[in-house]
Amino acid sequence: MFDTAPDAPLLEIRGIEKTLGEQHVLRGMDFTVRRGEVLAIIGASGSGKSTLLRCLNLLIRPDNGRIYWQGAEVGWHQRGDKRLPMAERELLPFRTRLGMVFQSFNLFPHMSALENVCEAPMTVQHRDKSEVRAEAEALLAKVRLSHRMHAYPHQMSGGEQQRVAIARALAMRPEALLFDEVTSALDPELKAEVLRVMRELAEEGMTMISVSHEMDFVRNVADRVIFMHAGRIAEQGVPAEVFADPQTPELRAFLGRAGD
Amino acid sequence: MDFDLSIWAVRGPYILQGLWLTLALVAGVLAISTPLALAVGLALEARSRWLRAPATVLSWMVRGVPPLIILFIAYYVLPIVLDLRLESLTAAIAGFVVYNTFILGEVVSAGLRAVPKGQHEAIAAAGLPMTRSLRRIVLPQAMPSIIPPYVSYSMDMVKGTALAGAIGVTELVTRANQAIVATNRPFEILLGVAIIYGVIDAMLIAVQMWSERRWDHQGHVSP
Repeated sequence: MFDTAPDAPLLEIRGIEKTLGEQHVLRGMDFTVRRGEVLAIIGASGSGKSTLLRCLNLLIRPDNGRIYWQGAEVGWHQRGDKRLPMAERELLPFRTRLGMVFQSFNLFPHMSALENVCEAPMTVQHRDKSEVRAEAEALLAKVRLSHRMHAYPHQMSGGEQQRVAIARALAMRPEALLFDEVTSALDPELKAEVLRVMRELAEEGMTMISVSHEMDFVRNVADRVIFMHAGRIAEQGVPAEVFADPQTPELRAFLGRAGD
Repeated sequence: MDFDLSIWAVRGPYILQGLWLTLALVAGVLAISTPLALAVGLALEARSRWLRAPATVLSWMVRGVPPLIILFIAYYVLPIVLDLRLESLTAAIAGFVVYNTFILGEVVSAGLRAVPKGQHEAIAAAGLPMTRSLRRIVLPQAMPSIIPPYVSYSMDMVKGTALAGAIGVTELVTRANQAIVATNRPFEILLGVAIIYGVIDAMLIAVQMWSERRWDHQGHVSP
């Protein structure tokens, strides 16, 4: 499906722009993500973080710019001089390689934890039922939810639901994961159990792109941080260095608020 | 005032033959319009405007016309246009099917809109194909919001079938009216008819209660 190049970065975006209504949310974003890298995206509310994340797997289609997955462009076909948007169904194989976890979990409420995890690998990848089930049980064990396998979302705490959502995203054997403020809806003690799972994934070498307000997580787990302001990258680099010596008044103000 | 239910012993069989027509009408119309309503509901919520626009316009038009006029169109106009002869029961079913398809289509569309946006995002992000996830994920979540108005509109339809009398379907109310004219016993006859409608409504409520239990997911995503 994709003409991929093995040496190319896993994900590369060039000049992504997006206007939603009157709002010019993204004003030209460029960055690359290497395999195994943990990239954190921070910024004030309304700086375009969640929109950016949704552009990466084309839940939102950017107005301008290009997205390359392992060197191959996704989202558009080049036909001579013309660029034609891919049909929704052509995006499906790409999306299965790039899992996503949401702030509000978005588990399927009429399915148990196990069924939530099994749904995509069974219907998309048509893998053998018993094999998928065994793998789903292993994934739920990995997020420490073996005892909640048959529970329904409404019977679980937010932290448990979010860990099921992570297991669900992992079930497709993705090559990278997108996290959209996954702990923002959780109480502090529930945050910790989700962040612990994310830290373990990072240690295993999973490529992760995480929009986050958890400054400790960004500082200790991320290889690189991008600070967004007004739809652009205002600063980026190794978290410890960026936080120790912020160059822009916006980041200084943001770090001041985050320290509260 | 004398009150004598024995009038039903004489006129009952004739009136009850109308009940079978009423039930045939209800069953036929619901059986045909339910799958059509699903299609209309999906078209109303479709991403493609080529599906959405005609469905929206048609729905406005059909729902704006009184059902009685639709029955007249089905009975008088349709045979001329199609150059065929329509029995009054067939014409009544056709007319009610058209009306109900769009009434219930709006119910389906409202139910689909009640499914949280995050569910659609989760489906798309997982790379799940649309048709299959519609059946396995979206519709099961839409059902709790579809069932109560669906049953409620179906009850309206049951009572509305009396309109079919106007195009010669001798259903329950038409026959009851004939019996009243013949016997001058309106109270006994209308009381019986009211009880019959009450029983039909009770059966629909039973269907509603059963299906609400069947589709109860105990609230949607609770953070």
